[in-house]
Amino acid sequence: MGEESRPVSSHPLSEDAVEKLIKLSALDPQSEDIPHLRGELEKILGHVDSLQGVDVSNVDPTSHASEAHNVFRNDVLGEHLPIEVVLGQAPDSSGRYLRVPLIIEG
Amino acid sequence: MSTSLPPTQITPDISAIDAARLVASGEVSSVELTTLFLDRIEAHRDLNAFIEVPRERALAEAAEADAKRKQGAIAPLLGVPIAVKDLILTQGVRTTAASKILSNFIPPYDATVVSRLRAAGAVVVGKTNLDEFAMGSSNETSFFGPVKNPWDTSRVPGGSSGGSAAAVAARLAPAALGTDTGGSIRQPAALCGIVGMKPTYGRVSRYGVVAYASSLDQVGPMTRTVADSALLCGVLSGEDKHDATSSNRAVPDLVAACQRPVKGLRVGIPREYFVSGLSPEVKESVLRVAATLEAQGMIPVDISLPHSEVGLAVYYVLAPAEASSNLARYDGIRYGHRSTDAKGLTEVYRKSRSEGFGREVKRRIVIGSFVLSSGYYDAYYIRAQKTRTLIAQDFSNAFRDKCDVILAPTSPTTAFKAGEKTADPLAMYLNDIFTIPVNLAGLPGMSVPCGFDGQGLPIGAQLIGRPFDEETLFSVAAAFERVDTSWQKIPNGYA
Amino acid sequence: MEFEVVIGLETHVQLATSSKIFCGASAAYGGYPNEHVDPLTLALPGTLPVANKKVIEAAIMMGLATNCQIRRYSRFARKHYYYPDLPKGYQISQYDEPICEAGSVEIKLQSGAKRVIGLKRIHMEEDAGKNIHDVRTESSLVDLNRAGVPLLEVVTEPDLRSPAEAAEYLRVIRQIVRFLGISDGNMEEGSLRCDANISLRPLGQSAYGTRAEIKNINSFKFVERAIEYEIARQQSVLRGGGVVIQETRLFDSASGTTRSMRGKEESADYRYFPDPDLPPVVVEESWIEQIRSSMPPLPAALRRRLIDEYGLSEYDAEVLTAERSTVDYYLAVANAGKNRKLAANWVTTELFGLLKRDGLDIENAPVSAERLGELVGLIDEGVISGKIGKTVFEDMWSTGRSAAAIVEEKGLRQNSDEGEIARLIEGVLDSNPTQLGQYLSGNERLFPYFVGQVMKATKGMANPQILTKLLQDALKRRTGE
Repeated sequence: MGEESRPVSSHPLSEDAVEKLIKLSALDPQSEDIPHLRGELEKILGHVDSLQGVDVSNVDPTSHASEAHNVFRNDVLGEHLPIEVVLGQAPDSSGRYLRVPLIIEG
Repeated sequence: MSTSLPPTQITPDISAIDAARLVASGEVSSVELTTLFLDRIEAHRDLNAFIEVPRERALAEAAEADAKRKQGAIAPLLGVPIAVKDLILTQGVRTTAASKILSNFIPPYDATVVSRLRAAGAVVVGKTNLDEFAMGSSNETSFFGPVKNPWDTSRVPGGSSGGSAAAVAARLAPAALGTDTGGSIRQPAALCGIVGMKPTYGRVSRYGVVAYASSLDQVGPMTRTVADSALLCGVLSGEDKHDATSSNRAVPDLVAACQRPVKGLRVGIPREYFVSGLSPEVKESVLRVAATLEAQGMIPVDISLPHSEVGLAVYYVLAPAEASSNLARYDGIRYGHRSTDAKGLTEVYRKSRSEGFGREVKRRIVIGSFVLSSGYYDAYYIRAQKTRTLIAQDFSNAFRDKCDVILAPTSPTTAFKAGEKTADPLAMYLNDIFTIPVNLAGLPGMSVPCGFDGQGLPIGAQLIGRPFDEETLFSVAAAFERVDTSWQKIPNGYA
Repeated sequence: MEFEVVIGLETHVQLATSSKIFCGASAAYGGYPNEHVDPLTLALPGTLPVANKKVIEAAIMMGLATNCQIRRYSRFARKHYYYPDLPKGYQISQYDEPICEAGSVEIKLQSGAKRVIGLKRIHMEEDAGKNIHDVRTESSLVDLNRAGVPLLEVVTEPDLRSPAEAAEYLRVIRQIVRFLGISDGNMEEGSLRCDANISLRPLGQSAYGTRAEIKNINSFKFVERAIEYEIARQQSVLRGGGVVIQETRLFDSASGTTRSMRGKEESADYRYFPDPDLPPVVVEESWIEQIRSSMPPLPAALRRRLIDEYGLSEYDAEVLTAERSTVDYYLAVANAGKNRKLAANWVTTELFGLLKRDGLDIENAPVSAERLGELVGLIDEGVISGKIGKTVFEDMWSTGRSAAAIVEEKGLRQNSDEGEIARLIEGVLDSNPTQLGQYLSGNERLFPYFVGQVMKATKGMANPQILTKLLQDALKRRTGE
């Protein structure tokens, strides 16, 4: 354990793919150094690819870390935030609304 | 009758338990105590261990604690100043997650762990620095600048709870809260020579803790003594109706557990954790712990945790996946940084986030988006979750058949130089290879100081327990502490 | 070329709980903008969802009401996309483990024939907030009141075959959720929303054609119009040799057309994964049984009961079970008034008549079911005539007094004294010899004249049944002379 392994990723990422991921992550392709990021991701995913060699047949995924199930709350009202608090740290608001640039519906 | 000791008689080396005792008996006022630590924090600003120090507010809380004490109130931490990692929300006090995107965020509510601290009478003395959004192992990714290790200020304190670790090691506060997702309490505790404890997943509420990886995050205490750790852990633990993943198991008396006998307990030594990549001095120091425990009547047992070797790979699929989801809410619309360059809605999202997040955070978000995207979800995310099951099974097999507690190194090396590993993300990630499997399996884990290397840098040993068996962990840690003096040493210049 | 229409509907039912699905903020309709907002609704850092038990119960009830299999083990999943009305950047929904699967709903066509529509799944999810577009200021305003309100999404198999069937299916769903008391089912207010998937295939072909999804349908009327338009559109595309594009189209109610949503990038990657903050939902048989036994009765079962036990006609049963409030009202009248058919009559004619006249809902009827039942009882027992009953009812409606009080006060008890009526009959026959003669020579249409005369003599209070019988007897005797 602890040895640095740098195999080439079995899913090589093109710059185009990285740009798509950047957009999927709501980040700005213009501001990110795509080639550099691509190199870093390749390296990290190269290490992650060691997972492909593990025998996971007949194993269930750990979907939940806690032992609990059926954790519910009753249908009762809790406290609301006053409008000054709701909008208090909003970068832009108008009256009682949050405000964003116009959403263009296609 | 009780008279106040002159301030010079209280040393900053005081433990939380001793501080609580002095306040309770009236020998020291909380205001004096809090002032002492506030002044020290100010005097050692060069460590950059704190992001926010609400001095007036802390003193007001201290005064309130003093008033309560005079009225006869009794609480385990009444009047004791505690530092809180700036990933944990404190009502009315800026909470930033060490990120530009939240650099001016003032929470309208307290995290449950903070409410519990307050209910125990503690004073929040300041918000400690961390790696941005808890992503890092050296506290070098903070928007507010890196934290220095008090043992050697040219070196890192570890991360992500580097600020909390440095603060406790430098005696800027008797105790601090940290969070641990892949080692972020234990690893900096080892690099700073203090006790860092990560409870079983679900022991402590995550409500009000800025989420990084929901199935891995836990809050825990960072202290100089095992008893302090037990006290704080007990205060923080317990079911919370605001956190559906918090456990309803009863919380045992962990301070009492420190006195439990350890004779006959079997301590597992996992062979995969002692191979190459581990510094020889760290290896030797941790193996000496095994010998010490054996001398106290414990039985070292050779065990194997074969899947731990892919723990890092599993972590770097799952943690980024959950992080990319948990960080989707930071968009500059309801709070936080919004770009002033944005033209149109899409740019509000993209530019605010690209400007607001640091490089490590963005790297992990993109990895996360990748492993969750259709076409890759099965090959990466599902496969990682299945491998996680295998890693957890290794531990449960060992605990079922072979041992009652596991001993391993916490960190492969002692504190490294600032900037030494920042160029290569993977090199940085390797700092957590021994701590990550514990988070993946949801087990309780602790790092205790066990020695120093040739350069005087602290070494930590990791103890890992069965799920919800913090009692055994504390009993073994306390037994070790009783015969080891590493924890008593103070870094030069911080006495 | 003849085409078969294939329609599948996705219906969102907004649940009428007090609080939201994952937090304690109010789920009530309306309110000032951003009034029903708590830290979770605002997606502040560190907030965590906790599931509202009432939502799970509503989902199970809906599943039972639609013959679904209730999954023993189901989970919540995160569905990611970026939109200002979705504060967390993901919607908590259910993906490959929905709580209910493989159900069915029966609809009745206009011809009287019945069809079974399959349900693929029912799952729980949270609603998004609302955006108001202000073109003038080039901004959109965001209101998060609705963000986090609980929804059930009901998805059919592609089993519907016409716009009329789709509308009828929707009406049945609406009726069920209102009967269960889990939703108002109001399309105009948005507590019932519907997206339609429509495709065409050549008659006889088994493979499905390409489908288009139609959104923004917000009334029952528009459901049929939108689907009709889309069918016509797809037909003309196909007949012209073109291909139908798989896309999402918005229904424009002003023009009655559907238009493509321009500018949408390739379909979004929602990156579903199980929500780590929410433990799985495990539904044991005992919980299902508990819900089943305490569930309100459903329209179909109630109709059966009214027909089989209460002896009502199918038509009356349908009218009375249109709304839960109606059947509850009717059952209360029937219990109080004893004569079930008479009660049905009074509810569907007199009561409905006055409700319509005054523009009221049955929930706001000024006469309670118990009071109406009392009136029906008085008629049934012969204390007053049906005709008098109508005026008594109007009086009850406007004054709020009971039938018994009005009858006593106004002396409206009908005269059932056979001896007196017989004497009056003799008197009328004696004093109308011409008409009597005409009647006896065969002009039987004069019978009502004699009835009227006796009624006049009794100021309308003679018991009509007794009067009729005695008059018939008297006339028979006279015939013999």
